[in-house]
Amino acid sequence: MTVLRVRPEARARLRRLQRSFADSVRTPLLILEDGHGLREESYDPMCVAAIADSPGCPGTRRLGVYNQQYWFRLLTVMQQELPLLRRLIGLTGFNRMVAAYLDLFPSRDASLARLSDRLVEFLNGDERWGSQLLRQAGLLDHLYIRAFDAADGAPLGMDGLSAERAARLLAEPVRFAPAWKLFREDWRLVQARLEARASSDDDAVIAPDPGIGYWAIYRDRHRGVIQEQVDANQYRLLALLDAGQTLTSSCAILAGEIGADACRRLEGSIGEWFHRWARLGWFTATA
Amino acid sequence: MTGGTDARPRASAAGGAVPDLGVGVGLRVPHYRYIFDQWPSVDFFEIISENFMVDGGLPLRNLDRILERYRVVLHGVSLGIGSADELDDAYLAKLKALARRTRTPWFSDHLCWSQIDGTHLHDLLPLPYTAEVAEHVAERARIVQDLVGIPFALENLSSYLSFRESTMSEWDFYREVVERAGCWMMLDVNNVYVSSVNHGFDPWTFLDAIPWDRVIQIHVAGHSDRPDGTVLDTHDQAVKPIVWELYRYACERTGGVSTVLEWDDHFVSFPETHAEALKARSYRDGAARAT
Ligand SMILES: [Fe+2]
Repeated sequence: MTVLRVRPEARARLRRLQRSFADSVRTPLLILEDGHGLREESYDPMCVAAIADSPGCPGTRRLGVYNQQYWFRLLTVMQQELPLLRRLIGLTGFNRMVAAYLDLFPSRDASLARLSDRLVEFLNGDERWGSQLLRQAGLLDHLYIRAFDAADGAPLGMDGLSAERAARLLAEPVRFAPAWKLFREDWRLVQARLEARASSDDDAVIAPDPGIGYWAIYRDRHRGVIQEQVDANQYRLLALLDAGQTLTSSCAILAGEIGADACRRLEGSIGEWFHRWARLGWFTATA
Repeated sequence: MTGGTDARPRASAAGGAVPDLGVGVGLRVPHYRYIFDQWPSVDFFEIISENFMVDGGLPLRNLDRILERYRVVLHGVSLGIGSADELDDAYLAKLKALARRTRTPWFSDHLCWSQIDGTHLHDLLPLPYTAEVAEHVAERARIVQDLVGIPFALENLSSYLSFRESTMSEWDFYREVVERAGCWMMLDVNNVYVSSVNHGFDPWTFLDAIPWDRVIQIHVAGHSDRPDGTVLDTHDQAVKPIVWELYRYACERTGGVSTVLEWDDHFVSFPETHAEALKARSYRDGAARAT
């Protein structure tokens, strides 16, 4: 079989067609309280003109199948992946928020799991949806998503450490497991998220109580994403370690912040904390 | 493979290019618990490649458990072989790594496009059927097959619209692409039926144009009839009789190749899903007896 050379004009023509098709498929739905509508009149005329008429079903209606499928698929994924935001905003508002987000930040990855990658950035820059509560909730949902399929790191073993290895642990930055995330909340969001996930069919809007909390989101040994509450000092220590401080320098900084007396009271605990966190798999072995 | 297949791979299909793995099921999350508890006897599983092209965590742990006991073949949904964009090197590197991890004997994706200018639409979108588009796709399919290093099969699409600029039928376009590329066919007989209704062609004409020695895998699935007379490829119910009839014909022509039931929504239990898939065995056996 002879190999046909594809002319650059033919590729350019295909690109134009796919662009106009993509614009049409991404046409926002009319999201109403009791359903949705298609804006067929907004489809790119070039795309509409390129579609062959079929008996009984005009081209715009056929394009509408793709337009509708696009939004249903993406909205469904986002509803599942962002259970907290969904319950804080309510389904209709959530769908409108997602539509505004994907209009500004369309998917740039082959995987649907990366759909919300820029959601926090969107919420930070958006007047309508960017309240402090929703920004924090969006970040929390996003941390769970990222923790789910982050790389598996070899956990840092603490048993039978040599003296030399223990000394290095104190003096070198700690490496956290890729799936480990630290989170600070001003409302009881972690609890609200757990409840939202447990009643995913319930669309009633929830309003979490105010309250500062500190959490580590991580994966257990079965690879399920779970969370553990930490106190303010533990949070500060973890944040310092996560920022690249060594255990020794983190303790020194913490001592400066909470005062020498308070720090002395903690001294005995910090080693225990570190061992416990290592056992939970929060750290990975450094090279 | 304990707990896995009891139907050992038959000699081969498509002139020895790949083994015939029997009748498999698309692996889906709602069935994990049953599979990991019961380890049912299943010829093989087909997985959606992109679900496992991740860095770590539960998806890969589950996959590794499956691989301990079952044969697995890869089926992708996001390659976008017909896109006017450049091929995505990072995607292909992950796909190749997954192919190695699973030791899949071949991999498949759809004869469609899914992304343009780097924006992914997460759908299987139709192409205009012209000779130049066929060559564009074939050129890319050759590269992908060479790069991954195992047979690459393209699946015919279920589609809801066609383009004015098309100069050939879908089946001529399909054949043209795989023959030009030197790749293979993953024939979805449900898609043939869905498109035949949506575009008003005879599904048997489609099948009669298939170069059967290129078919290395077949999909069967359920579909939904819409009030406006179109058909949606919903994969949410049992396979309709007309689709089984098309499958029977495909078995007669191929002598039986690896077959997968796709079921993606309104899930039923794994035993029910598997029982639906295993209906394919009688058609395959009938075809084998006739030859
Ligand atoms: Fe299929």
